[in-house]
Amino acid sequence: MKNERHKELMNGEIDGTNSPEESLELERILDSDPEARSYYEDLCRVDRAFRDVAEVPPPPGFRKEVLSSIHPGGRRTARRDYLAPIRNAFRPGLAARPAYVFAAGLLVGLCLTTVTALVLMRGAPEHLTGRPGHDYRPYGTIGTGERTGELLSSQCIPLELPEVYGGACIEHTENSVAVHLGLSSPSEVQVVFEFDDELRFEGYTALDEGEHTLRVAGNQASLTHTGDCDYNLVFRDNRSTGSSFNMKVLTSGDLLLEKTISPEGE
Amino acid sequence: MIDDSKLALRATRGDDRAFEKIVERYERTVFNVALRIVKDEDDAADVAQLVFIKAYRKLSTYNPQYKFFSWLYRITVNECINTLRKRKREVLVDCDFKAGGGTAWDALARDERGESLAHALMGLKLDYRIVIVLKYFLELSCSEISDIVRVPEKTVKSRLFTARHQLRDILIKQGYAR
Repeated sequence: MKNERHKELMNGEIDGTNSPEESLELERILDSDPEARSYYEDLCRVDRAFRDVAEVPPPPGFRKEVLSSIHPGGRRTARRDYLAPIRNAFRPGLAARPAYVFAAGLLVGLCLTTVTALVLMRGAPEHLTGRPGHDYRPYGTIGTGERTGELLSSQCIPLELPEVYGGACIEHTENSVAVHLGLSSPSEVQVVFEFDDELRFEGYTALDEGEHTLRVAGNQASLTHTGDCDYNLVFRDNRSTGSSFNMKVLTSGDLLLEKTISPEGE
Repeated sequence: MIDDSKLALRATRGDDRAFEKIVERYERTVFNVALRIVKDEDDAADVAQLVFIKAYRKLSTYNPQYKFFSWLYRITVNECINTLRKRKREVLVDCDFKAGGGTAWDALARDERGESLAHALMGLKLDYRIVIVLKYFLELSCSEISDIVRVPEKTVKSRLFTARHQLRDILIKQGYAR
């Protein structure tokens, strides 16, 4: 079957996207060309055969296994109250209740004052996006807690480009820039960060086993990625007000997105 | 039935029961898509499990303006690609495969587990195999497939077009003479 128009009409007919005129055109072709008819019948058989394939059930216990890998401790339900017996032991009688309330208030106040003082002494703790228990592991010294810095801004840029899907969440602190990059792309994609001398690339971590390479040279860090993977990249920032940098997304050398990311956001 | 995006939203807020519902709703299709692309049942189960783990971890990046299943199937397709790359070798089409009694096309139609079709599918280039799987096993439209594989609808149509013709040729070569 060499005729492209014939093939196009046959596929359109199978998919049900042909117009009435196109269906009629195909009908005429099939009536006048036995070879084309035989070819079309083959395609219809392939189509029917694939439509008739029965689904295979997932292996037994599949769902349980998935859920237990997500919640290793079991599904979140009401927690057992381990402190109840102790509380019951100290449950005050009606007459003593005001005194207990006063003592408890005093204790809570004391604790709050201590915690506030500790926080102020260390500087405000980093608060990076991501929810607890969701594998968000900032890399480098800010990830390990050796270095802290006040959070200046937080922004997320969705990446909905041809063949690339995901997002980049960028957090500027007074001494660093943390980039959480989620990429999903069946073909190779390159994400390039260009920055000035005040920013210095510190490190990165890949949260999955996707194929990737990261090259850092001078004022540029270039991540080449294929598949589905999340990354955390950290830059040390000498500007306490936060530095701007450029982010480019390319596939096969074609520039799909270029953005200047500043601590002020867009 | 509760909408997928509502379930996803509830799950991001910590409602694990909502995510359980999502798994329940999609486990079969995700597993079957993986099975048709990677062929091996154990690999497919691993892929499907990874898909749900990743989906759970990435729920906060899901944009409810888009269809939830497109998002989930995109993760599935990418995870299949990762698995095949790791495997480093494609399963070759067994050219000695022959159909049983009766006419070859009848055998093909009777082949409930789709073993013979799976052989033929594995003879396709990965890009073509993916569109065939999404088209036939998920019954998605070209526009929905285009959302998942992130290529223009025109490219999906052209891949589908080439894939069908190649499948026909492979099946004939495997003994399904007309």
